[in-house]
Amino acid sequence: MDKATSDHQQDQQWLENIKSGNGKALEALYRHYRDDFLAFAQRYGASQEDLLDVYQDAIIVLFENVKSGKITELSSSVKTYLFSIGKYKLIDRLRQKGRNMSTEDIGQLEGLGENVMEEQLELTHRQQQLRRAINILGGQCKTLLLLFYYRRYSIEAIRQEMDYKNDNVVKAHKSRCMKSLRKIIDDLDIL
Amino acid sequence: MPLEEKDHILIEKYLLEQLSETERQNFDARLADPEFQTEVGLQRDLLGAFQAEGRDDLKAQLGELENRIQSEQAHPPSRRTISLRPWLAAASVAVLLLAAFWLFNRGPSPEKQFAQYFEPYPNVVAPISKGTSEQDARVLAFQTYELRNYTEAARLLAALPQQDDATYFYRGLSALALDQTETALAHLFKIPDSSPFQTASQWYTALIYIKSDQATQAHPLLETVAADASVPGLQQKAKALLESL
Repeated sequence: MDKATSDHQQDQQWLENIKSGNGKALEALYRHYRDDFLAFAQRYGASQEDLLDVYQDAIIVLFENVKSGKITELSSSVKTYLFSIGKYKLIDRLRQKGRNMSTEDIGQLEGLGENVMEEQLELTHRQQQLRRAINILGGQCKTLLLLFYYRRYSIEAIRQEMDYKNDNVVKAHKSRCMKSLRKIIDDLDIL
Repeated sequence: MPLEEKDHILIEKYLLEQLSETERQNFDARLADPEFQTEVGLQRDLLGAFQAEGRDDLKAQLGELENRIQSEQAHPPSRRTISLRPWLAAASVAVLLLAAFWLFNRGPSPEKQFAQYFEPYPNVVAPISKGTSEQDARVLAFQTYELRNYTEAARLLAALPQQDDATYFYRGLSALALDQTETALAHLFKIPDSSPFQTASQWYTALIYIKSDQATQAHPLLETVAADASVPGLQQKAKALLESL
């Protein structure tokens, strides 16, 4: 097996692990490319703090796109994908800070475009209220619902992550949590 | 028509893009119901709120992971350095126990009880790694001391290429544990005034003098220790010992 094939297989493994809701997979991915990314991105002259912030955002974009099914198979490697997102975000951030960018950088920025950006979340007033309701709910319920609705974990993955006895307990708890959330939403009079 | 549990499930599956073909037909049919429509709108907004909250939650989690990584890199498990302070504090405890024994328990078999009161120090060093670096040899030497294998500890400490106040202090204590009073004194004398072990070494030296009936020589040392507030436990004991002399 040549290296390209084995890299490709490892990449597919990353994606599958993330998709299946293996909690350790994203952490492993983060650790795997972290140092390479920092070394790669240092040339843009941003602070270490900015580089790490951007790297974390890139991981989040990858995560969300894998979860939503936008990415099932990458045309490039996971590394190239991550680094492109990171680079785009970094250049964008430096530009916002008023740094002069080379025309080459700006060209690349335009070339990359939106497929590496996460969906911008500008919450409506009602969504902000709903978010408040989620935080009032808090605790285990919030954790469970975030695993289900954001991390898109399966019931089985939630059972493992949160140490529930069986899948039915997870479903029952999720249903109770949603009822509590509905109650809070009603109490807050969110229409 | 009031909404049922199956409606909520249908809406959830719709929003998570998990509808089967049959379910999609059901969903489309239900959309004729205004109440169902309203619920779809609410659930969609709720999903957006979960998305925003979840993203911040994930970002915070990655931040914590980053902190862990940085702390791992700053303190790799196999290269932890020995902090002198905990050793010194532990040494003080041992000193106090020894002093208590000497003061109140001048029984017929002091050596036996000496060993009994010579409590091992708490483990403040990392498990021994396979490396052969000087740092690892140091860790091994101190751990051997901790395990009360004083003969071996004395040998390992003596073999370390870098001899400093810490090694002299523990070579002195090892010798003392082996009842080699003269050797112990010789090592304790090498500890410079600037060393964090200085006060403790003066205390030990004083105790050795008292043990060998040379209380007059112990006196000035005890007075120094009694005047030093940096090691509070020792200071009190030195004062008490001075009074009893």
